[in-house]
Amino acid sequence: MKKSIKFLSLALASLMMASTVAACNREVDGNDDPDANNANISQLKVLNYEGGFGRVWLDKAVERFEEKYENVSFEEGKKGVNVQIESSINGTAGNSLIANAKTHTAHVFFAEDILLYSLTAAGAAADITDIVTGSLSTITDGKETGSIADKFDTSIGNYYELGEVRDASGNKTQSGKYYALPHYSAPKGIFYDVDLFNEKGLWLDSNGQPFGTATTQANEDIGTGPDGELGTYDDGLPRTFDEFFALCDYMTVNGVMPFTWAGAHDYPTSALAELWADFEGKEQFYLNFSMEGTATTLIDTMTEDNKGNITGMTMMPETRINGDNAYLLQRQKGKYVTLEFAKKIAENEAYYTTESYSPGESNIMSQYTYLASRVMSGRTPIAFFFEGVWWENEADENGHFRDLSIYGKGDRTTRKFGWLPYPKYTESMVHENNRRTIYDTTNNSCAFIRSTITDANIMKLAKTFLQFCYTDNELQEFTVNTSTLKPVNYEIPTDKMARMSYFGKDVASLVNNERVDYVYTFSDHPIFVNHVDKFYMPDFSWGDDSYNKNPMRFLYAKAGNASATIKQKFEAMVRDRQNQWNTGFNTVN
Amino acid sequence: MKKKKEKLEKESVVGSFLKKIFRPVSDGMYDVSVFVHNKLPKKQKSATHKRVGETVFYWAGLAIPLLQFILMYVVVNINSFILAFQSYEYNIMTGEEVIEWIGFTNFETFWNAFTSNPLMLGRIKNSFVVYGIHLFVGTVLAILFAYYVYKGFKGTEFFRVTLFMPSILSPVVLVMIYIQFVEKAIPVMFGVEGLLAGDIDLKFGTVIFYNIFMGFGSGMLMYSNAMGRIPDSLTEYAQLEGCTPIKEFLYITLPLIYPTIETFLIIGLSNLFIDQANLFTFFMEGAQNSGMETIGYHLFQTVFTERSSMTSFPYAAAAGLTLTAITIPVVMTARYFLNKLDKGVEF
Repeated sequence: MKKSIKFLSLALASLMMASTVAACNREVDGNDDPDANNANISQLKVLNYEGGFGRVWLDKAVERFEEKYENVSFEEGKKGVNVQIESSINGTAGNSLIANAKTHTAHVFFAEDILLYSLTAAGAAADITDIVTGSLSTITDGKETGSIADKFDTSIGNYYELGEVRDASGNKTQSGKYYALPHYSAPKGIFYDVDLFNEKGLWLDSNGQPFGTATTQANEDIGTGPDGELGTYDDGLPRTFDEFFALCDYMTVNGVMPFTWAGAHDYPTSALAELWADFEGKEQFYLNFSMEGTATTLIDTMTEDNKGNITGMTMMPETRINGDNAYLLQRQKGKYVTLEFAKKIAENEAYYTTESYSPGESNIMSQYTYLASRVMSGRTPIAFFFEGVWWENEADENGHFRDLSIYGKGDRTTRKFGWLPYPKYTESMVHENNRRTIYDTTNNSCAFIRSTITDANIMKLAKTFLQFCYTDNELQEFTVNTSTLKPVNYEIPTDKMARMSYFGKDVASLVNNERVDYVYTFSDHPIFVNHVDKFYMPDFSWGDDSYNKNPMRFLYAKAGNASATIKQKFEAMVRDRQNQWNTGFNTVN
Repeated sequence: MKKKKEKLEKESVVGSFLKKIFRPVSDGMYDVSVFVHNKLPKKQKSATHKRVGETVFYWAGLAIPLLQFILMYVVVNINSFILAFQSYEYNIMTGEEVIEWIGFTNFETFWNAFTSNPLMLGRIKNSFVVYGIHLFVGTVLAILFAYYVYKGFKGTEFFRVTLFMPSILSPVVLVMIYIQFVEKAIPVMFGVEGLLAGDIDLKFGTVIFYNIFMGFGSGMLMYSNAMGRIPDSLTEYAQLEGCTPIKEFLYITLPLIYPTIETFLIIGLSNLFIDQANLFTFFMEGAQNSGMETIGYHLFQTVFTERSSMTSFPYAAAAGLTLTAITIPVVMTARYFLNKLDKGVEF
């Protein structure tokens, strides 16, 4: 008896111990690279943060680079290049990478959560001014004549260029230096299932009503969408808040679940900030980062009834914003509008899945929940999904599309998803001159070269590779492979668009859309530079001194905060930001 | 029994065979070593020389761990102390960091928050709640279970393995299993909603339950080891005198393991503002301003996140020093009164 108990205990213990080593391993090093130890080829090591955007884009870029430089000698006695990739989600982002970068074996880094000034203060990044400002003509065989710097948006360029001097008119009088490049564009938002909209007739007609029967955006009676113009990408989508929530109500009684998201992550927090940006527009929203300009949408006072509904509002006069009073921008009306939007979702349990508030639902699981909802029998199809723009690529590299293709409803190449333009607050905001505004933090992703490379030939090789990755062709291929964009300006030709998934085309088409503005949340204002972490969007958008920063949690009735109203939340946000300013950012949050 | 005897007999046959081969070899090597020892000149070590040798050996063994302690603990804490009086900024022209002395500004900021910020007051409350539950529920249950195991009642081995096993597994793995259990299994079994999705009090209670349950093992082990040192003669005498298990627990076991209990109480009190109750393991940054935050979680969150910069560290250092200044007198006072209750029994 004793022996059998001992045996059973041992077996149980072994099983438990085995669970500690059971984990997914996405790390791949160059050990199986046949040229890794070839002394006749120059070796270059690249470290890649694999989360979200994966590594397929990098694998293909490396293939093209190695082919291009197959017969070029970077070192004496060697010909060609072999690029070894180390790709992982561990140790490839944030402060832990910065701390180890100088002694790392990798030469080139593609990383996330890298605060530029933390990187430069650590002395971990090499000066790459020459390749950023130098002509791309040589590396592109004459196809491009500009430089990488020419492709920057002004805000992102000013942030990444250290030490430049400008005159009162903003003209540059002294150039600065570059130590890193922005890596990928990473906006968050609401994504929708186009196939589901087609199947269930969820598109809205010219009267704002769902068709109710299977149809497509090509229907003659289709509505204009938020841009107020027929024949554009958003035809048939809800134009206003009223239409949007009427559609959600329609979904709930017609066998469609409106929303799902990952309860373990606060994606709605960032995604809802896009509505704030969209309401304000590029100029007003960017004030939050430039801290220079005139604010025109600041709320002065609010009144509410005993149910917490806002019954009245007064606005502040146009206010000159500078570094001393930029906390006033927490009063922007776009924030209030977004809280109203969030409240209508959060307080209606029929609008979202139970997983949406479960910390056991990770982003990967949530992607599966969303993708499987329409293809697996017995599940309620889900229309909308709060996530980051990289979600389709991440789901693909995790095998979700492949796994679900067995149900015969398509894979990544055939399934259709779109990026929902936020509906407008009121009917009067729907017209042919309105604009869509998207903000982009790039997740503080950046590419840099290790500063401690002593071999001049290897440094030249690393710089050549990095510059190669920012040629137009490589930027386009990045978009083709990931269905996302790079945070620089470039065109995407029709033949490359044709190779992309439906979702990728939807994302890429925004680049060429004259009515879409991108706001990169970067600036070289001293307050921003010295407190970049305080401008981290989830905290910056909705953080306060009293309530949960995630609007979907704060407004979720079951969270025990039902007594907190929008007015209280709004005032708490304003109070907290003012407190941060008053204490010089030596703050509690 | 017969098999065992046969086994022994087999071994001795093998053993004697091996001895026949290797004994002459080892005897020969011994003779050689004796011969060499007798032939070599013998050095007479002085007492001083011997003491120096011992001292060098002693310090050579200690050098590396001592150096590590100095670098990783003393220097780090001195640096943290200095950090509390500084501010970090970045020179926007060069990207280099600029460090300035700002006196007690960081302390002032933290103290204002500590005494008036609603979120901070909530964190203090939660820290006390976590400590109180650890003290009155966790510690009590750990002592009771330890006594149960010490007395060898039914299921002792099962409890010993089951309750201690969480201590040897990764907390991240355990939390993941627990989350899936309370979010997926319990709703299916009982038809209720997941325990971590809704009401904030239920969420917090679910997290605290995990902390209590997983903390059993180490506490139970320490207490049962302390109980194991009680002389058997004492307990046998008590039993002969008609002492019931409960009376034995109250009048013999508890007083004799009191020093161990006192140690754990002091340690628990000193962890009051450090304990983050595994909130980060459960929710990562998602527990921020959630109503569940403890001070320990908040301070960890301030400096740990991958996107934090050095600009946050001085404030966190000042917060740590302030909390230390509060904790030390409390702990010393508690220790004084707990020592008074110690009967000073030795065995």
